[in-house]
Amino acid sequence: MNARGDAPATPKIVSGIESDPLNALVLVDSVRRDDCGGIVVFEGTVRSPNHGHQVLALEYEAWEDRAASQLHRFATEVAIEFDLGAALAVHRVGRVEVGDPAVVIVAVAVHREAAFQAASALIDRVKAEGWIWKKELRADGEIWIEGCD
Amino acid sequence: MTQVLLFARARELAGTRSAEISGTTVAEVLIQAEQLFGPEFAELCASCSVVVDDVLVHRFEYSTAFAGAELAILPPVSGGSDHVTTQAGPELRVAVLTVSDRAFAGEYEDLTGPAVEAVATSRMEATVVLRAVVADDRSEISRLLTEWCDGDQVDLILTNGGTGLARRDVTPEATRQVLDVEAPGITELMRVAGLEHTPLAALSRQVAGRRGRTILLNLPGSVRGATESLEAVVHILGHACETARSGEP
Repeated sequence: MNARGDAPATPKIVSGIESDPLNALVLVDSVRRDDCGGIVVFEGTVRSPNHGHQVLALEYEAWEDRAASQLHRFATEVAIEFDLGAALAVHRVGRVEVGDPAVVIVAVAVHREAAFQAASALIDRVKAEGWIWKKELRADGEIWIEGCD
Repeated sequence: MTQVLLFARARELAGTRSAEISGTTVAEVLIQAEQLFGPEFAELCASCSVVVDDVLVHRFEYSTAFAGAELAILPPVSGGSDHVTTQAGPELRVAVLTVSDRAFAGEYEDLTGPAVEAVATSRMEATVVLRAVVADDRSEISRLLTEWCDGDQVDLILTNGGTGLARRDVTPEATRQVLDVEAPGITELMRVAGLEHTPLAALSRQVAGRRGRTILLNLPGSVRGATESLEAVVHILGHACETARSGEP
């Protein structure tokens, strides 16, 4: 429990693997709550250029049922570690156009400090451990991104 | 039969999302899959993680029998370089032994040993921890191989030279003398690859096998022969060394 004693008793967890476009505003509204005053939203969006190559889009592939349960577990563990009121981790699969979000992370805490730290920890975990792969669709070809980029 | 699941680039190279593959260990299933799906798949396999029925299998467990029904082959994920490194296991310690009367006498510079080292470090993430040049002397070759294996200093010894039909060529005999077990499939694979370039590959006499926890492999003496032979088997030497290292000492 939070040392201040005002952390929410039960965090709300939202997670999923989605094939339709993500709307961060809608997702944030699904986890905001009156007893928490700090909400940090992270959107991971598709960027171009990357390492000098013009990127047309990213194609995401997941081990769908395992990745979905991983996201739920990561969000739950981070919520417990940082005394969050809510945690959200939703990742796209399929083709994601440049500028569109591929992943949305939300950390909802009583105060801002925990929310910032938790959001950072949660996206790191999703990227390093989630069974989700991306293929860069470039103007000059296709390439699977393996290892840190 | 095990249901093998394939993802991302592994799926593309295999041309399928899943396959039925037989094998009682992860190593057996992987080798079958590599034969089925080709060298590029085999190369990717070296950096893949393996999950059997929801449980991540560590590399030192690859040669342990498993009862799982479903085996997933998972390429590195995009944000996970640290994660992948921790699963890649300890670095391979390699020793390179050049066998040549003339290089030993200083009549010419040993070019093959460095070429073998270059292939080993670039293709196998290996560190060369020992190197030596010896004459075509059977007892001296055996003595050095024994010393390197029994000191638990190296995981893989690559010799080059002394594998032909000249009367001075004794490397295969010196090697066979110190092996606990032979692994003829490794050198068969090298010869098959060599025959694509020259029928003379059929005259090569290289042997391979294990002594203690170390894998030994003879390569030909020419730069091209040695590097092409090693290239032909780099994708399975990692498995061989992991298997040799696993289990009680």
